[in-house]
Amino acid sequence: MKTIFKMVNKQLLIASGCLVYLVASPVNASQLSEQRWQEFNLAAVQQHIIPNYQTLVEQSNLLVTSVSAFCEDRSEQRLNAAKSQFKQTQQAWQNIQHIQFGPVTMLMRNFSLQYWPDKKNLGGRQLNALLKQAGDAPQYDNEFFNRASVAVKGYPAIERLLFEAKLFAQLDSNPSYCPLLTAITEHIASNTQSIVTEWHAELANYHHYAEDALYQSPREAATEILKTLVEPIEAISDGKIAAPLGKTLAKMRWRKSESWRSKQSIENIRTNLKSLQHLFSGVSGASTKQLLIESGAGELAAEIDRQFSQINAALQQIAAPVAMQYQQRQFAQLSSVQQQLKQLSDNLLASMQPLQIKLGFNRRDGD
Amino acid sequence: MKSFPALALSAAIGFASLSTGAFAAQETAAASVLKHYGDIAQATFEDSLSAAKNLQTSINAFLATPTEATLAAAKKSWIAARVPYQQTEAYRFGNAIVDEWEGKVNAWPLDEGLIDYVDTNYGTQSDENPYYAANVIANKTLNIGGVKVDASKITPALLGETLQEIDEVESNVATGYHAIEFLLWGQDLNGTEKGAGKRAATDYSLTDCTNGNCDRRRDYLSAATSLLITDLAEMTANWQPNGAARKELAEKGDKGGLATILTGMGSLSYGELAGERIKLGLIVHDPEEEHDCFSDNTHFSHFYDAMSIKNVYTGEYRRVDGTLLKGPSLSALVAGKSADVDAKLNAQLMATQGFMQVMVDEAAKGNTFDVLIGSGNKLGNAIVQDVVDALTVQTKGIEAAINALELDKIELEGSDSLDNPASITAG
Repeated sequence: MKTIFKMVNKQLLIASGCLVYLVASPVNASQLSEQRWQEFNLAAVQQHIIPNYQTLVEQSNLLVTSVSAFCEDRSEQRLNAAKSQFKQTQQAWQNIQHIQFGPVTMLMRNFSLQYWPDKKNLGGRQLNALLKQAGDAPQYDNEFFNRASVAVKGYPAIERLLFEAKLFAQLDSNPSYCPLLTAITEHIASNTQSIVTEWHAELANYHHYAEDALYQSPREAATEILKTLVEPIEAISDGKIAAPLGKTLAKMRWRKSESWRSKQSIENIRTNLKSLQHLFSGVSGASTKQLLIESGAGELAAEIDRQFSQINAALQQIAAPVAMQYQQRQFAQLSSVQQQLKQLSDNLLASMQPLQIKLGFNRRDGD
Repeated sequence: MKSFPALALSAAIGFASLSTGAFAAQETAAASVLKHYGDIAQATFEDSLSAAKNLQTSINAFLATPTEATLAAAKKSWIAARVPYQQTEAYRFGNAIVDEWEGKVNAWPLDEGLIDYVDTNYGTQSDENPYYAANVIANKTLNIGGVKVDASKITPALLGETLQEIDEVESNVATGYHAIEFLLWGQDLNGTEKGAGKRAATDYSLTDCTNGNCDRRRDYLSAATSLLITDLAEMTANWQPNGAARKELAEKGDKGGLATILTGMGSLSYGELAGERIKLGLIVHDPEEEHDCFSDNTHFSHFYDAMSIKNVYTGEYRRVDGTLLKGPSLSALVAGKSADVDAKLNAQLMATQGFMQVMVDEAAKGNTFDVLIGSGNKLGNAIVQDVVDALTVQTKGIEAAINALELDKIELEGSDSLDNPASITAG
């Protein structure tokens, strides 16, 4: 994937099919008031961000319980229960994965909860190295996690330990296996709890805007939220679909997909898109969609919402691959979703203009 | 100038000759900045090409008489060759002609097992890459996943056209600086402890060959070096007056051209350098995430990247021969709009150089980048974090410059760099 330089010019807008919306919007749409942006911020934080993190805490606690229960008797039944709980917890993370500001970025929690993609197989190598140290009776305490690499302390590490047959074969022979597994689940639970606790404190930033405060204005705070709505669409399209799918069926490499070990790659994308649509139009009072309408870009707002719904419906029809491989028809279906995501991304980027928001550099700029 | 007040507009109509003059002056300023930006690119790529030719001379001398002394001389030339090349990196993002070409010469990270023998800890397979341990030097035929590759003759064409990114896996890097680096240094097996790769000169000996296949290893090193020169010559030609890169830039117009400069600065600062090349290594504490992981020259690669960003902003480039290329700068153009924005950005670029210098000084004491990012190395981690923070802050300054020049309708499209869901503003 190469960096493409583009200008929002007439040609591009025609190419991406959204010229009509910008032409339709008034040239001098009145600027949204800071009060309105403040309502937007509070709606996003209180109706989307905090509740989703709260669910993540609950699901992460349930994972601690079910993994501990499995480690007690190591039965097939409890293993299945732990695996099934892992999938639910993982979806709770996918539901809020797009938020990349605030407490989740403190102490690198975002990386700690999920280091992916793992192009150099660090998680595999580093977990193996830890398990090899079993003879030294290591303590998996706070000090351990402070020093440990992010590749061994999040959901992907749990996924490897529960779903990867080669690793799992060490369950009974390696005295560190269960202690490490349970310690990681506890570390995750404590990390997610800290996020929620800190978000409640973080709310103060949305009531005090000043030169020396975190945000100088409600609009600046809103820009941060809008980044987490706009940027993930292309990241999902490129990283979660285009890369593992490849350009042709013969080039499909599903091991590049997210969560392939637990067969959740497609489910993750479904959860991501549903949650992003909620952030766009599902919060009440002052959603992005509502503010677009108020900025005179009602048609674009409706089109974006329609695209979200269309993509969500299309994703419902797409099954996970069998034995890591699709047939041509499913390949074409998922390719089509990827194209739709590109269009959605273009429209969301275009929608920043009527909102008069400048997103700035993207952490994904570069190669 | 955020809006065009009605009064100013009527004044412009009323005094047409005067205002045309003013507009013309501004256009000239932008055009001359863009021309000079092209001149710096030309000089930097010319320097990169000539430094690569020196590297080839050293490598030829090494292959003629493979001793530790001639190997050390070749390594020294490689390090010298990186100095101008890294200073071209601000041209990469924004100039499609550079970005599309860049993978051939500077792709990273690489699964070096594709090229040559590796330590057992490297492993034999990877999720992502069927060619992870293909070892072309030891195998005249590769037969992977039902695909047969004839590697009986190691030529630039085999490396560049067949092996590079084979099977569409980006970490199959068969060409460029880092492939040559691996061939000269070998794997760095010291983890996050001090020390770089320690390949023996006898890996290239036709009489006392170590690790087997010395003849093919020699062929590989020669082929990769000559390909590097071919590729650098191509890009140097592109930046000559009326070259393809200059034309591509000119077609964007003044505003588009200025936005290209700032795109290159911001994308290199933030997503690429702060994120992918530095922060990632820090959070995984793993020397595999070191940009120059065989030679441990990473500190200088980063240092000269930062300098590259400063060069294109200040319009100054210190050539390898010591002469200073100086001309109309983007900095002056920004200052014309807002002295404050320009002063801030200049200070931020200087601050970054300062933090980079700390990293360079540590390396001189043996605390190279892989040591600094080690788990539990609090002081080292903090030194690297300072660099990330400085780059992040300067990105804000670059955004402010974009706004000051009213280029904010120019939009950037990234690629799969640091990757969702990682954010480099962490911790």
